[in-house]
Amino acid sequence: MQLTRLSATEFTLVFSGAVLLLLLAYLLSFRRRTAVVAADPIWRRLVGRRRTPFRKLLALLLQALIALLFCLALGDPRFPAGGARPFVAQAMVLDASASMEMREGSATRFERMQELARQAIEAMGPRDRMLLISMEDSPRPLCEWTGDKARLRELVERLQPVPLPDDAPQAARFARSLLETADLPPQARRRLVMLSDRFHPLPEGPVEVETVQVAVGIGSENLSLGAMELRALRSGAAGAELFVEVVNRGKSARSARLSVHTPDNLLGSELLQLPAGGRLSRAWLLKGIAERRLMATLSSADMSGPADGFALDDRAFGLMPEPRARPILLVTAGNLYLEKVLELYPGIQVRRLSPESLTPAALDGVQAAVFDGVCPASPVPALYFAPVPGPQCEWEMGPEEPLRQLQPLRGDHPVSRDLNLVDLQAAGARRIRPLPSDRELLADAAGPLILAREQDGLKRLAVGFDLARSDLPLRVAFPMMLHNALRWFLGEADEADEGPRVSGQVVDVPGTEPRRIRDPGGQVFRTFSLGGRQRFMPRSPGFYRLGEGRSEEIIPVNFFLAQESDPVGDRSDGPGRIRWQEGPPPPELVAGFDPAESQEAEPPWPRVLLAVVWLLFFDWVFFCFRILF
Amino acid sequence: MAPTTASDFSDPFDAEFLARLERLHLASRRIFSGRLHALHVSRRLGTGLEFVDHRPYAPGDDLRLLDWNLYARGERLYTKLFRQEEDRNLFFLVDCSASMAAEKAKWDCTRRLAAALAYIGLYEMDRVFLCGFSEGLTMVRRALRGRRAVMEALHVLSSLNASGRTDLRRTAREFIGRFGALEGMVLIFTDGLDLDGVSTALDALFRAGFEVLLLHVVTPSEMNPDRLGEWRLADPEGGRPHTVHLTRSLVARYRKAFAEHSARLRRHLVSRRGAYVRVASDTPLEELILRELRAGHLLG
Repeated sequence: MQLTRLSATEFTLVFSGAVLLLLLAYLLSFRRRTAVVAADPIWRRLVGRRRTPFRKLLALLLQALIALLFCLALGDPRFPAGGARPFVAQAMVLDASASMEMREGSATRFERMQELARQAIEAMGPRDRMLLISMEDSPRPLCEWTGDKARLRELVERLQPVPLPDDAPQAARFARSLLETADLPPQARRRLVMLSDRFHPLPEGPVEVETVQVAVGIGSENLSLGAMELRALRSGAAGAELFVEVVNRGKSARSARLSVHTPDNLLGSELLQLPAGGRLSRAWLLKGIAERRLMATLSSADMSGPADGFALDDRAFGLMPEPRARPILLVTAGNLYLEKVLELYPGIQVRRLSPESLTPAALDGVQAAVFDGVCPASPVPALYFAPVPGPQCEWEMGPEEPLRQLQPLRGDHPVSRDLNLVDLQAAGARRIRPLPSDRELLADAAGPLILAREQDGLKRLAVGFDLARSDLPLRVAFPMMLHNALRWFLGEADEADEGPRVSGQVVDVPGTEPRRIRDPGGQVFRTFSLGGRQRFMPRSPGFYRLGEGRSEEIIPVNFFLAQESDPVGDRSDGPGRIRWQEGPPPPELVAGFDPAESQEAEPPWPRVLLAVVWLLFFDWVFFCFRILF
Repeated sequence: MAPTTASDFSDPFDAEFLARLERLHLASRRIFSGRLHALHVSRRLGTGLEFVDHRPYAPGDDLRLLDWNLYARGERLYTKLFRQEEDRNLFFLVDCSASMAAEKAKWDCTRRLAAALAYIGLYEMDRVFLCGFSEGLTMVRRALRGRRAVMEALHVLSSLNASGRTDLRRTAREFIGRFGALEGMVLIFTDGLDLDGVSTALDALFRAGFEVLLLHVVTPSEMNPDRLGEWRLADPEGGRPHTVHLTRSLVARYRKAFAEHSARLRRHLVSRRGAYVRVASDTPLEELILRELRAGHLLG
């Protein structure tokens, strides 16, 4: 006999509790109350030496038997007939990530997985239960535990792949937790099945769970665009430099044609020969193109079809940078290092002035200023080298002292990013007295040497030593620091740090209020606020349009997901790992299922037993009530 | 008028009830010899009202008793003989054991009933002896006679205390040793729970020539106990309490045993020309006196 609704522990607990209650009631029934009765001699003659009647003890045993029957009835006992088997509870994780769209032969991996899932569902017996989980960028349960084959089939049919990476570990943990916490009898087989196009590491848990992974499809070939970047030309000239990287993720050499085009015009194409596992980079200089939207597409060598069976990573999207000439004012007595380094920055127009010819009007129309040895007031972001204290100088400088042991630069500021000045040499330096809101970027024991200040939306940077009396201009860090400072001043730092926007990853957009956004498919939604910023998560690559009308901004989103573009993945052998392409389902996947098992009617006797036990229980309670009260 | 309950000993009998009592008399099944002239027919022949027989005149006979009519018919002198009317000895033996006071109603009922019957006896000019007993005779009051002794009888009864065990055999022995030379009617007020000694004691009293009237005072809880479950029963007369699991069947068996005990007492007394009356303590005294005792021909 098997209890289908109670585990052994639960049964023991329930039965022990019931017996304890009975014992308590039995002991309470011995509660002796004293009564003075004149007719005691008659009682004594009548009772004699009798104590507790044996039938009372017998009643306790009967009650224990009733409790046992009651607990058995709660457990819904079944007598296994010949061929009876423990039922299977199978949590089936269906990989719906982008790589499942890879077409191999006549079908995609996803279609093969659907076929396999259907076969597994068909193999279920009437008592088996299944739970479907869609493995996307986060696991998504599709149903609760059910044995309804029609519903399971419908859910599998309705499932669609998404152009997003999967989160297999999270999905496996989720499925395992559902299996472990499911209200199942102990003899039930708990099985975690993951249908994907590769194998994933599965977590262990306290409850014994069978794990089966089936990798559908074959490790086919795939070419992908690994990177695409458009950079503005230096000095603000119209046009851009285009950088494209093509990756052959297959095991054989491939040829493909790389085309660069706008939505309407082909700008150029090149036939590429890619060795197995190789990468090829190409750069173009683009000029005279009015359309800002640029795309790079991989296709077959003769451009008659797709380059491979996985189209998502065969196209990349980019946006032509807007030509911008940013005027920067440089005030120096003739520091050529400064002038030349500033000119390296793309889109910068440097106006140079000597300190003597500096007037407030000179700052009109510039977006930032660099002052070397002077410290005038500036309405625009400004970088001060060795500011000389004066009436208009906002920096409070200390006396010049020798440099001491420098502390490492703070790396969490846009200006100090990727810089190392710990062995900087300088003849002397003045320490800058910081305000509470200032950020010390470089300091020694005597005080700060480089200070960043941001007040009322105006950014300032002060360097406490003279460039000409230090070795900073000779260091690689010098142009980097200037560039960092200018990017910080011009608000380009955050934008540049974001890197390429990839589908499935949150993208920050300017603004504080939710904005209207239209995805490549034309669907309109709104950004969401998080951390004081407006964000959205693109689910497919392409151009996203933010806002409307003249303020419309275009955001390119690419499918640069190496994990999903990898056509092979982990296909190593191991326990519970099965590779499957077509045919009948692997035996491990349907082990324990018995579709031929007849759907037996629920045996009525547990309910009858339950009713009888309830009646006996109430009768007993009533009896005790009469006896005790 | 609100009924006077038997258990309410503290309330005095009202005048109407006393007037009713005065119209009653205790019926004896036997005729006793008295000492003083009173209202009861005696075994002695004398100057009563009830004609008994004739006997030949002998010198010295009271000439007022000559039957002149008989002399006229046969010219022989006969003297008429009449039953002498004398007083009667009434012995009130009140059980003063602790079991009588287990319930106040029972104890009060016993004393009020004894007081009422004593009132009737005193009103009939009988000689009333009030005795208390438990393990023996614990109190013996000198013979009371006449209506003036009513208050004293009430005082004696109200001052009785219940304690000790019941020993009817010893009580009977002591009683006979003290009053065996007399004859009369013994009224025993008891709950009859000296199961071993009651029959022996009654036999001894019968053998001593007394007419015995047993008033078996019982309470409703003794007749029909309603306790169920686990109980420690304590005898008010002492002894270790004992634990009894009272089930319905056991309670039914008790009722049956109690009824058999009462029936056995009744048979024992009736077979010896005694009388038995079961007195329920919750019965109103008027109903008890005026109906039940009269219906049992104990009161006329």
